Amino acid sequence: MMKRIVNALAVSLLAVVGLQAADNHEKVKGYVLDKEGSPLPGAYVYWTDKSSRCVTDTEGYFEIVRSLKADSLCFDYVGFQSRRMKVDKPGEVQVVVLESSAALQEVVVTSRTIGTLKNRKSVFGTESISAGELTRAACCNLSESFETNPSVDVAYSDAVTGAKQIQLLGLAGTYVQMLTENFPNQRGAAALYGLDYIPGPWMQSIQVSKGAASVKNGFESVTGQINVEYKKPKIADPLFVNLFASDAGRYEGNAVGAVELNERLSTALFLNYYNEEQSHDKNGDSFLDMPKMQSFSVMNRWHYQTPRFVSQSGVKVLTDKRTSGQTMHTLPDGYAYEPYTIGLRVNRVELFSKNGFILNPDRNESVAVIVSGSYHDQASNYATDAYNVYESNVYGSLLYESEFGRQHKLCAGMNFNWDKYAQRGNIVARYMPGVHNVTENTTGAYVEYTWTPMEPLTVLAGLRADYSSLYDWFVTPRLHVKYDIAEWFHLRASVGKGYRSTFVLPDNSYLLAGSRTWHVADELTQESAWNYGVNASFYIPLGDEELTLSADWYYTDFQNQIVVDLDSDAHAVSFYNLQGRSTSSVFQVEASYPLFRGFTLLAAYRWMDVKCDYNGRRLRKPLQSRYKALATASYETPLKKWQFDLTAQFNGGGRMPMPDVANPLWAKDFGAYTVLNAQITRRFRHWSIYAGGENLTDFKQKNPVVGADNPYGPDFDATMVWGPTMGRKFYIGVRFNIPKV
Amino acid sequence: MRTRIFALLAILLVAFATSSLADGKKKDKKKETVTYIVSMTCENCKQRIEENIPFEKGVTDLKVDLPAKTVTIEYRADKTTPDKLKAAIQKLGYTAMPFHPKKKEDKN
Repeated sequence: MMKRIVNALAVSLLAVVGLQAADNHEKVKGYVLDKEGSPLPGAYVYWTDKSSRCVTDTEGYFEIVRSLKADSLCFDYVGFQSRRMKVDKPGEVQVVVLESSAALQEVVVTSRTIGTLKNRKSVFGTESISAGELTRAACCNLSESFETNPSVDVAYSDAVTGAKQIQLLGLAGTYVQMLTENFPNQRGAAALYGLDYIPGPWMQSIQVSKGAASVKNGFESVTGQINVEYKKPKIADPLFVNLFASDAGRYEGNAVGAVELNERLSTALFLNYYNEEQSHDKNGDSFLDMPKMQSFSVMNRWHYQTPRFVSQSGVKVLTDKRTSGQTMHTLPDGYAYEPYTIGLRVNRVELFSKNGFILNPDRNESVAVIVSGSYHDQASNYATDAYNVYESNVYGSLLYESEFGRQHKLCAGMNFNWDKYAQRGNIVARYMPGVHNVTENTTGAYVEYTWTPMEPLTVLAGLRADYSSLYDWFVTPRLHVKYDIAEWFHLRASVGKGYRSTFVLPDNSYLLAGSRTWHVADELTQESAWNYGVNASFYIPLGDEELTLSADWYYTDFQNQIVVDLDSDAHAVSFYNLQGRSTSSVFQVEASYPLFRGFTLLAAYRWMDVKCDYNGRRLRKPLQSRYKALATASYETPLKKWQFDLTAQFNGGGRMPMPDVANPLWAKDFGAYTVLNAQITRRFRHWSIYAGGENLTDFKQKNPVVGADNPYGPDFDATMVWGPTMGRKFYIGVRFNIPKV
Repeated sequence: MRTRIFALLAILLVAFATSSLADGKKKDKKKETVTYIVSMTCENCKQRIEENIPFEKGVTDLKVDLPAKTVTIEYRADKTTPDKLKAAIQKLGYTAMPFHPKKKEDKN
């Protein structure tokens, strides 16, 4: 016993000091079994470099000293096929099943780890939202998937069109790089409504990284990166069906089917349809509270895998139709004008193909080629004004990766991106004449080097150079450091630069829902910003459980920004190059603790200071809460048959854009508000049912549409939105699945 | 302010209600526990076991430890047997071996 304590102390001491020698004392433990689960006593276990060997005991149990060079174990037993297995997680107990020699079936050599959701080891400060987490709320689509996440906000851009914006680090969603399956997607015009284009039941997981991200996917991430992984054909259930209905009149159906055609080839088909056709005008301002929507999307993806080659390809098609604003029914009697309607129609096609070749499995040497493309056709009308945009995108990426020993990893590659925006309609002629078509090509190359000099320290440095057909050459440096001071205390720091090309109309078309006149400066340059971040995570054993505490601070400093100025003139919006400073400073603390088995409490608080020089006046970013707090309580019965979730979001007050001095139509500030959501889930073996409520306190922003009584007049403005426009909502849904055999 | 207090109270209420529920659980004499070493490799395997084993007849509690590769099942002896539970795990495609934690302690 004494010896054990001394041993443990010595090991932890060494770990703290960070000597690699600590590895040598670690043992890999496990069991060798036959297919029926009987132990195989006396089986030989040895490393591929033959550095050490051992024999299993009567229970099939073995302990073997870790090898310095080899990472694969070999198993031999008379009458059984020998097996070689890569030890991916040496800290875990290994269970090895040997097949009898008589059976000639091929043995899967390496145990794959798909969907590992723990990110403690990652050098990036990444938060993961798993498929399980997504079942804790309605999560009809991506825009609703961040309700239980403390870092990401999703807000309606205006009171009518249903456009939603993600906010990360207090800045607009356009500064977050959106990825699906690790390549850029939902850019430009698709960003505004695109959060609705990814149905919740299609997703396997979401990763949110704050601050400077990897340079592999380009230069665009300024405040961070959000990546969505769809369900994988190889591991998805053969059939999954989800049906959903809410008292607001939303009906939704999802189906995901997966087939493994043979050992190498598998495919999956995804379907989504939703319909929200009821017209609501509960506040009686003659404008619909939510647009009437109808959408259908389908995706088909293929997965082909041989030991040395993995290929994934897919195609997604979507059509979305929305009508909002006034209707004949909502208009009071005696009105002499045509109803002010806003219509939006989108058709979108996406294609992708990702191919990876493993050149040398021993050093994880691989080459990957990613190609993707999309065509986005969006036609919109704001009463009699029209704005149409046809957006095409082609993206290509070539990537080489290899490890050199345990300490060095190198990744290098090239990217190519082509964007074309063809814009039509009288809006273009009025505000940006001569900018009907815009095209940008960007070609770049990068290197990323990961250095792990000792177990607790990881340094990742990335550098890329790009050439843009609009903005010439530019360089993107990024650096990440992670240091584990102790098992329970991890520190991360990052610094990096990000760039973005702004296309004013596609990025901001929701601002057309109002009578503001647009002023767009002639020479808009590329946006660029530095981002600095530090993050401390603590994993403190408390009772039988672990208290997780984290604190982070991120600072974004723009060199240039296309300022969206709603302040200088209450009847206009101006877009111009930043003159002066624009910064965002965001501090967040978070604590979560399993109070007792099955019950987890999470509390988070985020303080935001986002300021920008608007025409020489430094002001806080309008329509944004000064703080946000989140508290969630989740309880799962021991057998996980019942689950109860309660989420409270506390939103601080903030500043409104400056109202007109002579005739103020809105207040200077808005107050704090709270949103409460709850859900109950009952699970059965092959299906589950869930019911819940959103915005239970029924909080609504009063008069979200300014000047609603005269939408053709100069005071009409539907974009002064800071809070919920829809009140209490109840929903019910079922999930049904046929599991894999 | 009032809604904020209400929201916090609601969360605390759920916490207390469920904690008293968990404390109030009585140990039934008929309940027995069995542990298996199971050939799970990843989070997905763990999920599959957690999604299926609770619905086997007689199962009253389940703990899956992925790093230790153990599945501990509490069951009602009058409703099921360890062999049936082992068969249920095998039906999901995993190999299971009865595990005796006491013997392991002696070895160390």
